[in-house]
Amino acid sequence: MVQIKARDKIPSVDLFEDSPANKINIADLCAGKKVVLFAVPGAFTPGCSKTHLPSYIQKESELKSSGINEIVCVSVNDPFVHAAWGNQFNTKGKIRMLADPNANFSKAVDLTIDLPPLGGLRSKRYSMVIENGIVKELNVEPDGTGLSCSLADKLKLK
Amino acid sequence: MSNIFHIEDEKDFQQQLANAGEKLVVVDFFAMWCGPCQSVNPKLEIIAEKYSEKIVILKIDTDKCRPLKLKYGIRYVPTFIFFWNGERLDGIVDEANSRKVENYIEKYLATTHN
Repeated sequence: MVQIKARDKIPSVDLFEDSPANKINIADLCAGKKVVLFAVPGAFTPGCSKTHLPSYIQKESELKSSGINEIVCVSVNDPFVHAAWGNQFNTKGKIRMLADPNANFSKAVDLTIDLPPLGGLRSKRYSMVIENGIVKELNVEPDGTGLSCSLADKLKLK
Repeated sequence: MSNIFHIEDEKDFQQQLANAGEKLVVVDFFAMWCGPCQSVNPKLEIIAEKYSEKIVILKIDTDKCRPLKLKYGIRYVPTFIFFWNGERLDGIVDEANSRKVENYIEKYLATTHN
C-alpha cells in the first residue's frame, strides 16, 4: 500500500458508527461534500493535551460555517469504545465518530503505526481535508504544531 | 559514533551528563505510546548529526524512568530540557516542536562556547 496523498481518491471502505451493525462507507459519506477527517492512535489515550478531539469540538461551528459539511474522527478501536469516547466529549451532532476496528481504512490509506503499548496496529495521527471524495490536504503527525501528551493519569485508581 | 543515548536509570543519566564534558546536553523525555514524541524523532536525528561534535541527546522513556520524570516535574511528553557542564539550563520545550529545540541549541551554543 502506498500512503494516500493529495489528489488521491478516498478509498471505498466501511467504518462503523456506534456499533458493528452500523456501517458507514467513507467514500459514500465524502461524495459531494467537503469533509475534515482526523485520526488518532486511540480513544481515551491520555492527552493529547494541547489539541485534537477537544479542539475540533471547539472549532466545529467555525469549520462548518466555512463550508465543511462533516467532521469525522477515526481510530482503530471497536465501535462501542470509539462511540463512548465521543460521548464523553459530547460530540453528537458535531463530529462523526467512525471506528476502524480492523484497521481496514487505515491500511488502505497506509497510515498505520505499530503501538505495542496500545495493543498493536493503530492509526497514525493525521488530518485530511477531502473534497467530493478527493484528498485536498493531508497533515501526518505534524511536528512543530505544539502537540503533546499529558502524563496526568486521571483514570488511575487509588 | 552516535551522540544519541537511551537512558536506563538515574545512575546512567548522571554518568552520561558527566561523559558529555563540554558538550551541550539535550534531554528528551518521551513515551512509547505518544505520537507527537515519535513525530520529532526524524528531526532529532538530523539535529544530532548537524551538531554532532557539540551536543549530546539523552532520551528518557518516562514509563521506564519514573524517578527522573518525577525529579524534573515532567507533565507532558515530549519535553526537552538542557544541561551544560552538569548544570540545568533554563530552556524548556514541552511540545513536539523540533524547531524550538533547535533554537535553544543555537542560543546555548552561542553563549556556552564563548
